[in-house]
Amino acid sequence: VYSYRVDPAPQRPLTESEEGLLRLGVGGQTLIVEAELARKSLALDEALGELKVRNQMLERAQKENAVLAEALTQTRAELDTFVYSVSHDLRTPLRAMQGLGFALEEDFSNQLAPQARDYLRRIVAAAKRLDVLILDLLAYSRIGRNRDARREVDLDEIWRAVLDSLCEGSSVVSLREPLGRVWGHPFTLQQVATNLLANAVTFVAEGVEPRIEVTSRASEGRVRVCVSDNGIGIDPAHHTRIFGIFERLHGVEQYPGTGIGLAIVKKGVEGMRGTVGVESQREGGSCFWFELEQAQAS
Amino acid sequence: MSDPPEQTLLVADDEADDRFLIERALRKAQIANPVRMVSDGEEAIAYLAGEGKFADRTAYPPPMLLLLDLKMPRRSGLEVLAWIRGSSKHQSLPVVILTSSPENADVKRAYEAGANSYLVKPVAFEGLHRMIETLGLYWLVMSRLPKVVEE
Repeated sequence: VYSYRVDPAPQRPLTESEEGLLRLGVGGQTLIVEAELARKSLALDEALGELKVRNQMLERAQKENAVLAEALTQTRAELDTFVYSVSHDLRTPLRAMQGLGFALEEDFSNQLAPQARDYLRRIVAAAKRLDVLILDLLAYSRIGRNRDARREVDLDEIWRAVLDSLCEGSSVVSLREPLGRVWGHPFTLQQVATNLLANAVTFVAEGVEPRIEVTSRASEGRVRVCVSDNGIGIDPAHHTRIFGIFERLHGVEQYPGTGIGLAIVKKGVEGMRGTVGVESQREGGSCFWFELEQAQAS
Repeated sequence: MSDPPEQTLLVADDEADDRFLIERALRKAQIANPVRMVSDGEEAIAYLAGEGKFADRTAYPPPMLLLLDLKMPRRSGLEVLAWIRGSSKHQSLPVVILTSSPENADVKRAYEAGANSYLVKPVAFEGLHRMIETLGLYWLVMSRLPKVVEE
């Protein structure tokens, strides 16, 4: 039944077809079901009211989103400023410590007792360590901030490039090619690979020649790359902790490092929408793995 | 060899320790040119313009080359650079930026403002020493530089 309600009158101007219907109704040629009319109109008014409320909610949410986006942009800018000042202002006094320590050693070495020379050497070494720490911290803050879209990356190319740049250790690393193709950022992947290798080479028992194998396995649209070593192994109790920033399981004298390497790996991989983990026992080496979305073979 | 005063090197850096290390590196690199130091951008401009105490051109000869830090109080290195390139008398002065900032944005801005070279101070002194040695060889030995104009 197509009908039209005359009273109460619509608040808006009538459209042409409505007017036509109205005329028809007045002309008495159409049976008007008043009750049906009133019900439909009421439902329409309710729906319109609901729509209005929803619209207001949407507008409010959009405004809130804009505020949040603005806050995020500001936080990023502040972080950039912070990183900038860490990299310059913090390194300036370091340069002085190293330079003046060096000058002291060079100019007054013969006037210093052996113990004094040892103290001096340690001061300069500490300054150098702090510099490495700052650089690592910078690398950590920057990794994963790649705002470009992910692209298809050939893992063989990444690992070969990294091994070429670390020519000294490359003889102990074997790649099981082809490692496959994934969705990621080439530079981030290089940093991930570099840090995993550095980690694997560092944590070996004294007198043991490090042997590292890089393998990969694809399943269900993901590629898992595994870096296996013959190192000291990690107690499963620490498997989560070691990916945290500044987490170390050993003293600096025992194994060098800043405790940022694996945090860089985790942040970098997660920035490419991947996951990381480790399989290891206290004895018999470790396998550090990361998993990324598989890309089609080219 | 031309007159030594014409071979003056001006270093503008606000960090006393950095000035010490640069001077030491210059000495170790056996760069014999007279070196003058200023500690902020305002002083660098005053030196070049020969204002105040810098009016004494025997003590403060116009430099043949400026080593300029970027981040300095009062007037930044970029402001100094803009002043130099806008000055008819000093616009041809070769300027080497020597800063701790490796930021791409700073490098770009410096070259846009007319820097002739951009060097990042290494943290280790050996690195600074080698850098200054190379700088001396390139800018003071191999390069032909415009003749310093005396006022």
